Amino acid sequence: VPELTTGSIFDDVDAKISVASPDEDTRTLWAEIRAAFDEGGPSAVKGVIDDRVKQSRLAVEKDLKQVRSVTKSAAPKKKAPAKKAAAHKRTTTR
Amino acid sequence: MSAQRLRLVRLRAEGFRGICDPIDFDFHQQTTVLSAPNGSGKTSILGAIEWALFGELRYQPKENATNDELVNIRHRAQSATVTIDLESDEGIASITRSKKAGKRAAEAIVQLPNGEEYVGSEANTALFRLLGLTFEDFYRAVYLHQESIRGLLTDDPRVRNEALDRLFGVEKLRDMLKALSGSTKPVRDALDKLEKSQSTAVARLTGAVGQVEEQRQRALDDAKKRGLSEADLTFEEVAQLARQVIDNLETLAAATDAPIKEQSEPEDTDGVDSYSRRVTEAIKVIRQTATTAAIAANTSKEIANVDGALTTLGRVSDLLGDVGKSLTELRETFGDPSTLDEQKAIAQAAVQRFREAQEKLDISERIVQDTLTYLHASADENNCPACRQEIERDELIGRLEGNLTGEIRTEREAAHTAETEQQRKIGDLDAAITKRDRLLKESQQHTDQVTQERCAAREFVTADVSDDQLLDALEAQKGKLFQQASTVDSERNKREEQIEAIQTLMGRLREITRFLELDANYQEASSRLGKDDEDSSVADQQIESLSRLENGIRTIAEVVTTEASTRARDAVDSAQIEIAKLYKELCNHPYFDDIQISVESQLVSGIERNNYFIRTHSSTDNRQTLASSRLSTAQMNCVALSVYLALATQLQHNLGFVILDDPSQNLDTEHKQALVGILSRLAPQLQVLVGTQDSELDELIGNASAKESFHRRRLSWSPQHGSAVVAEDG
Repeated sequence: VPELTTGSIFDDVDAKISVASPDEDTRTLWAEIRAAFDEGGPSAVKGVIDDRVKQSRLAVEKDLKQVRSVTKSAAPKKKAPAKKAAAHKRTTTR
Repeated sequence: MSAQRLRLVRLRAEGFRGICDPIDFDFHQQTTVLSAPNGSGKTSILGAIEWALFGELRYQPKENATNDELVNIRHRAQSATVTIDLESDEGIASITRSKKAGKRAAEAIVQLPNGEEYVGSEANTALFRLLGLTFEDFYRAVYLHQESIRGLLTDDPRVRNEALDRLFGVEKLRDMLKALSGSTKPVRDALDKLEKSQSTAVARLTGAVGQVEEQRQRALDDAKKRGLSEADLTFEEVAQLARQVIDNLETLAAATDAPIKEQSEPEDTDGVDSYSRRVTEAIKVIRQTATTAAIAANTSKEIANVDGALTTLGRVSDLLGDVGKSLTELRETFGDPSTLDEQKAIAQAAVQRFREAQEKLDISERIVQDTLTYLHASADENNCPACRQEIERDELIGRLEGNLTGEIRTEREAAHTAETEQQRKIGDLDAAITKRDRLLKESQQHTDQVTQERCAAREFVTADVSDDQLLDALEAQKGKLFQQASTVDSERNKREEQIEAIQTLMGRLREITRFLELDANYQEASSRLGKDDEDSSVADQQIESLSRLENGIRTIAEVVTTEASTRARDAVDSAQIEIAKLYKELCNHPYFDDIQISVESQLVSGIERNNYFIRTHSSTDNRQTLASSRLSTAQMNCVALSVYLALATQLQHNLGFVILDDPSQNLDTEHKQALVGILSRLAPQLQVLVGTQDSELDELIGNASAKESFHRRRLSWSPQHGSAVVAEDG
């Protein structure tokens, strides 16, 4: 008789993820996702991933901000555009 | 079935949903039927078992945070309490759960057969060990709820798939896949956006490096043109120049008494700007102070004043001299100007005398002419007509005619000439008097002016000098002032030269700083670019991390998909024979006498999900069709019952009973008989609790069972007392 109860269902996924991906990061991610799911359901899983995305995004943006800052300080300063000469005022001769 | 499985023995409840007053009844070892019309509290009693075991009700939506709908609104203490006793070979386990209205938490007390007692969270843990299944599994293996049957009967494949996933124990995997599928897109979007941003930023940085390199080279060339060698282009040189500038500034400030702020050298190139501003400010202060001093010692105005005094005084003196000359000329012509009036009076008297003399001569002439006229008219008269003396007539006429043309004429012409002369003289004297008066007036005016100007001019000379010495003194003062002005100019020129020297130093300093800044920018930018080229920047690491996250999610989703699919297939495979057997017995379809459930994967929103197909099969013609398209609702209900009851006998857990809530929906008498037959067959090994409003099913169960193998309990309900057992038999 197969084991159909869900008590150990994620344990089986644990084992299969270890086989499918030798990557430690994936196992850690799964552990985090599983804990979040047990704690708060599907929305908590999304929260975990959103947090990771946000963390990476902020780190990248911070790094790119530095790059832009270096670029800005290195790039030659733009001259203010010359003021346009006042247009000649046309007068009607007729 | 294991002899160790727990069976329902006794239920006590009050204040729970439709139950108000306390109820207390025992369960039969084999079959208990709760029979009553709708709204009599069957589901409340079945729910009391569910709540006591798991602390929640699956199909009861929460009305508020404190879940007060669990408490009967007429219960005096406003609390719900349920106690159930479960029996196994080891003895009786008693589970009590209670909750007050307005409180979030429900209290649980678990007493195990060995006498151990657990409360709170420990009670729930002890319960899980005791029951051996989760809440979800309870709904799969023990409690066939009306809603579960409806899920299988629906035409919507999505809802049916979800219901079957639940039934086969993979709904957690389904929910997990749903969460993962919703997370992949944000990760991919973030990756795309960040990669694009990084690419743009690096491209701009590359361009900037090229530009700053060009600027740096230009700055180096400019510095060389200024005579700076590459070795001079250091911050040490900047600091040295800054020190030199400060020394020069302080010397200059001391010389001009300028109150400049204390100067300090820049600590780095960033400080050069503020240092330059401080130097510029100090130069401004020095200039302002020197200008103030120059204004205080300003001689140009004084020179102008002295010059003006000299000019005015000279001009007025000249005018006075001219007047004096005119007066002298007048004196030379007419003598003392004060005698002019007297001279005029004398001349006028002379004119009068000459006029009188001429009148007398006129009279004399007329007398002579009258005498001659008389003599000529009276030729015979030889006596004087006046005195009557004898006269010599011819001689007299000759002498009178001689007087008339000679003496009288000569005298009269002389008198006339003399009068004319005197008249001319009077005219000259009138002009001289007028001129004299004017000159005297002008002389007075100029004398006053000279006095006034001298008085004013004395303000410019310090020494007490006489009027004659005044002009010389003024000239001397003017020369002195010119000397002073020359000194001030000389000092200013010298100061400006020193300031120019400082500015030259500052120019060198700025040139070096400009190069150093550009060099630093170039080094930083090229270093940053080099870092990015080596794929070791934080951005690269994080993008790589996100990429790994995306791959990780994909891998996990694949594993979960596979697990969900495998588990569902295993469940179907293991229960397939029993499902078919139960279907055949329960449905007893004249043509489609067999049923098969297959599981296929279906891609939904990028994630593969289980898609179930329930097909009925005709062994006669070996034809099959989708059950939902051919079977009636009652027959589909039979399918649902077959699947549920097959799984209930297959799953491993510690509960030895099943609960059927209104299982005979839509079933006709034959189907009901078949259901009762199946339940009768299950009863010895599996305790059955049935809640039904179907009196026919109730009767059929009673007729099919031996009286000692079941209890029938009839329920009634009133608003004041809630559910109550009004009759029982069996």
